[in-house]
Amino acid sequence: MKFTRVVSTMAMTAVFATGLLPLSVSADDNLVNVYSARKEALIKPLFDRFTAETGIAVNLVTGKADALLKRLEVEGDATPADLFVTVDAGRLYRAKDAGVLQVATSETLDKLIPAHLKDVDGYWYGMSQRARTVFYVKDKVDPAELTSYEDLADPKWKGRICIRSSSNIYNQSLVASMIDANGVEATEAWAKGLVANFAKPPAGGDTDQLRAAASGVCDLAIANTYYYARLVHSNKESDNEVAAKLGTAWLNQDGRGAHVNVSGVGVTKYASNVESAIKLMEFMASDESQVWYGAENNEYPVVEGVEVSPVLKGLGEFKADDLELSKLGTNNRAAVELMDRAGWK
Amino acid sequence: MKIEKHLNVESVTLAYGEEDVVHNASLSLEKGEIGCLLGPSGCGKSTLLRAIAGFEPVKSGRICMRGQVLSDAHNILPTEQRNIGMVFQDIALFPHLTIAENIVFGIKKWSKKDQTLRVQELLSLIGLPDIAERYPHSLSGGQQQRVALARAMAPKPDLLLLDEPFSGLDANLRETLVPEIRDILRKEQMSAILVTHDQMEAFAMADKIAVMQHGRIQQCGSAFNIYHEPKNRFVADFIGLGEFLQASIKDEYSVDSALGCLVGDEPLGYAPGTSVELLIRPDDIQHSEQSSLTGRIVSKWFRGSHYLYHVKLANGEVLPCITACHHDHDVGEDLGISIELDHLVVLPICDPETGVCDLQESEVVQTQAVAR
Amino acid sequence: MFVVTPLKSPYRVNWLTSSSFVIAVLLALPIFVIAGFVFSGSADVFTHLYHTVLFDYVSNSLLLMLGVAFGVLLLGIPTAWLTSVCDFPGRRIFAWALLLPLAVPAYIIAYTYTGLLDFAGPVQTAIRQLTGLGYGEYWFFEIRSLAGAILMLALVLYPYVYLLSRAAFLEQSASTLEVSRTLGYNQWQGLFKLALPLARPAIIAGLTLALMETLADYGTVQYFGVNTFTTGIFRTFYGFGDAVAAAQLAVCLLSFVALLVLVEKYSRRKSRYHSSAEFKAKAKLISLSGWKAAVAFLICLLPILFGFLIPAGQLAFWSLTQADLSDGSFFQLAWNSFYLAFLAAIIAVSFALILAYASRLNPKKVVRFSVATAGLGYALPGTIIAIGVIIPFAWMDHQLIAMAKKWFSVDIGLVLSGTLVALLFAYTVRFLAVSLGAVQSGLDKIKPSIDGAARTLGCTPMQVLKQIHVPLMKSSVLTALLIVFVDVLKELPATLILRPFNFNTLAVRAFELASDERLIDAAPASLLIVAVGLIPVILLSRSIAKGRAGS
Repeated sequence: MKFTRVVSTMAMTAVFATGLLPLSVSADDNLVNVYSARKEALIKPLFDRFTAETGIAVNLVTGKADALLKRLEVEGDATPADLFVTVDAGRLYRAKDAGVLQVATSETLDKLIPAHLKDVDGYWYGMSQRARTVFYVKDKVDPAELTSYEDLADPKWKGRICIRSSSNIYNQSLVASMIDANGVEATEAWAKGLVANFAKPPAGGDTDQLRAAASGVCDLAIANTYYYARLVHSNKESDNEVAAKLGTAWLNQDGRGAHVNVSGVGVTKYASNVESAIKLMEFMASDESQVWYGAENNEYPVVEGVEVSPVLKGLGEFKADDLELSKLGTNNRAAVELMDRAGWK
Repeated sequence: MKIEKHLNVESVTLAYGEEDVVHNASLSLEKGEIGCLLGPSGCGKSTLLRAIAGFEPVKSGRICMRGQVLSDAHNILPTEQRNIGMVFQDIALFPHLTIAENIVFGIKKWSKKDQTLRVQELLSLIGLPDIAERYPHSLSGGQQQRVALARAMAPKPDLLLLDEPFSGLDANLRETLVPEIRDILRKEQMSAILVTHDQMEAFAMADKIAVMQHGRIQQCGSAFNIYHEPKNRFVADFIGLGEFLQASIKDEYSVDSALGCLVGDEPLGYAPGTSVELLIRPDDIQHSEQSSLTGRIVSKWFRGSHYLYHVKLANGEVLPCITACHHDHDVGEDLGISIELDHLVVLPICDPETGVCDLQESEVVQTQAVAR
Repeated sequence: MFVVTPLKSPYRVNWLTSSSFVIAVLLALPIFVIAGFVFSGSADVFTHLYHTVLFDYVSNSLLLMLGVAFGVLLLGIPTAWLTSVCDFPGRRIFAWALLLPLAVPAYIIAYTYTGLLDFAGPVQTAIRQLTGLGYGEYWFFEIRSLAGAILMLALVLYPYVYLLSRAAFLEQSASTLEVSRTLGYNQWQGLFKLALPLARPAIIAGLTLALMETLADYGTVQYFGVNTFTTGIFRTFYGFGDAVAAAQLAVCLLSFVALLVLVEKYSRRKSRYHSSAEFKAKAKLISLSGWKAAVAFLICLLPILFGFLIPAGQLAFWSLTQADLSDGSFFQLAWNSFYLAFLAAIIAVSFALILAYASRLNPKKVVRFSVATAGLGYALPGTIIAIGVIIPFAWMDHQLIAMAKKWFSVDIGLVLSGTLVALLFAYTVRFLAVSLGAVQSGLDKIKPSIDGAARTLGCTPMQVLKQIHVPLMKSSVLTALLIVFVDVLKELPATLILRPFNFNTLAVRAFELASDERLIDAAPASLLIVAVGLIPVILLSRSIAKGRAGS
């Protein structure tokens, strides 16, 4: 009996504690509600700064892009969300396609962000960019051998390449960009050749591929630039050593350029605080924020003329593929299917 | 107008799903009377008891107590509102409560003082005054069953139901506990219904016994009545020992059988010449050294104070016979017997397979049993 | 004097049945929503998967289940038997310490061991430095593999088998085992001929829980690059952006699990009995000494060592030496995790009590079906449950908003889908199976005559539940509370999707950092999950042990 009482007392306490939470978030001029697929640690500091400067509070939920997108869809016109943040263009395309975004008109943004890094109709804008390229083991590979993504399928790389699973969106986007360049059939043949060159079955994340290469498992690792930059930037010696063993190769520099993707943001169709939301987007595109992306996230700015962070400068200059990023979204399904067929796990 | 008894069970039919398990059962009980549902396992006696307790719904008929309808085909008064106490076969004391807490469980609305008094009163009534603070698992089976009785009686229920309360106890304990509990019930003037398959328990406890088989009440009456005037073969078989002899009705008072012509003290109610069965109880047959009537001993059973023999007659029929202890004979010997019958029990011949009897008489028996 | 009480219709007694039916249907709603997807969309994705990877997914899932089943039985049964029947040094501590791995989320143990055993990790680096060998020149266990995933899952899921089979072993009365000895079996033969077969329903119940959790696992297998049916669901969802096809795959998973559950029910149905074991004489412990005691000690130590001490130690080491602790919101995160888990445990167990009790009182087929359906949620990945929850909840929200606008002309916003209500509901759906299992087995042990006795003494059915059943099955209820609490603490995918604005838990924080490939920075949050989970594991396992000891 006593036990029952203790439990019910604790339950009551917990219920009261819960009661203190806001039940729902309603429209308010001084408020922006954000659904973000970008991790809290990589975006919250920016929002905090925005709040400090403008007095506009930012509410944040983070999560997986497709799940948040589903949440937006079912919430419909009742959604509290004003902004939808993703870490790849493919998901922004999906959001536009699902009809949960609206055209947000901002002269500032239109002026700052180049055409290939935003939606043609103005549904979303890229806010930071990164390249997906090859990192080679300096002792074993002559960078002159590395010319293009297409070349990675060459049998000379047999057993020498580390790359993560095809379930990962970065790989899907890379293949989507190659479909745009070479068509499905050629890309499938390429994927088959690439799979034949794997040093080990794909597992783990990009950093794991870099570490594997540095410790001798393979000679080439395919990874996003910020993972490599983070190792360079790290205050752990072991990380710095990994980075020191690897060199960056920029591919297709004579052709379409290195594959890039963006993190981006769009205003939701039923946003209650459109004005504040656009203000926040403009803040994210400001010089201050763009520099912050480089310093904190090791990403490249989207705004022309903004200084690239020193670590990224160390990777060298490169020509980026100026493929219209919506294509990554349209080709994504075909990319996954062809990777399935190619046996890319 | 019909006079309301304390408890009336009126033509009750009970069913599990589609299957009827108790058919058209009726019985009644006076205030302070102890009734008994007696029958083999699976006869529906416990189901009927559970229906009285309110655990099972009634398909047709109704159950009333003190003039109030407890159950009928459409309504059922929840058990907890019936003011009926119950003692279970597996005792079912609450293992997490002390003896005193168990007993108080049903009288929590009473004042603390009354509760304490009642616990003391009941504990001394069951002869265990010092166990109030102990837990059930520290008591013996007999003690637990007495506590269960005390717990059921604590709220002074209008009716106490006892569902085979002694079947889990050993024979010796049962012999002492049964009369003890009857005395306790008498002292408290408790109306009660006992369910059992043991006729000795039934005889020791009950004022009134209803014998059940296949979901029907076969006969209802006092212990003496049921033993000596069974209404059908089942009751005769189930209650006490006995054998049946083929016989035919000679006239209003007598029958012809392998034992010769036997004369009873009451009219038999069959037409002369009808084939019937004659019930012979062991105490109807005496050992008599001089008797010309003999039978060969086929089995022998030492029963402490006496021997029970079965002897085979010349025509192959077998009779029971009780002799005093010193009449020690062996199987295979011939035993002289004499007949000491003053009341004839004759029953119609029924087909053991179908249960269909030749005679109208069986119908009479059935309806009589129901009407009681 | 006698007060005439008005008659009540039979339905009055059955309000419990009807309310349990409502609860069961409500909890089964997300499953029905997911199942409803079968009727929409096209079979394109199926055709594609069938021609490419489906065989891989299915065979990997089956191998994974087989391996985990073998692993949890191997770890769970001997330890349960040793700690309940034998006496050896450390037995009392092992009895509760063997539950500790329950507090470690599978994805976290996977991260931890990868950090240790990966090619670039300290163990292999040390081997290379000592031997001078390079990659491919020596054999080492590849942690990122199917075998690795099996090992990780078995290490954290065996406590389910341990918990339930230990309870069964403890209940086996002294006389049962003594009978086996009079029949000529020695103690060890008695184990295989009698104790194990008798405990089989409990073992299978524990195994079912472990396997359902295995099927629902996404974090571990995805991290290890093992493509299972569940990773297939998410590949379809995330890769194709096709939630409908993903839900259809989930339905396939569900049907498979339903089959599994039916098999389990069947095996349990055969041995349904009301044991009065609670207060039976305790069997005398078999005293072990010498090498036998040492072996017993080792058998019990190893699962704790690998399932708890090493990963927790590694996390602690990372937290103290290398992790970035600059974000000081850990207390808030721990509190959020704690009360969410606590509330969910209370709700899930209360519902389980009502459902189990209703099916005890009135075993209607329709109620049983709904309860069984709701119980299937345990095998579904949290993300799928979350989608099944948010669709009907958002619909209800829209109705509420429309009503509020019409009658009060206020905008109330999303009162269900945007708040903790949805999250708590999703937890309840997801973890109903565990609480229901524990509560039901506790209820089954109470003889029906106990109910009858209480009813004749004036208790309503609800009072019987409160005054008799709950105190009597205290240990079962505590077990249910404990498992749900720990499970919710570890839960990630549903939390991620359904939580309200600015609300984080330890699991979310650990996941965000780990999935950003910052394993070491994820260590403090992971360690806190283990620590918060540890407190109730220790408290409750002690209280359960005390309850068992009798009064």
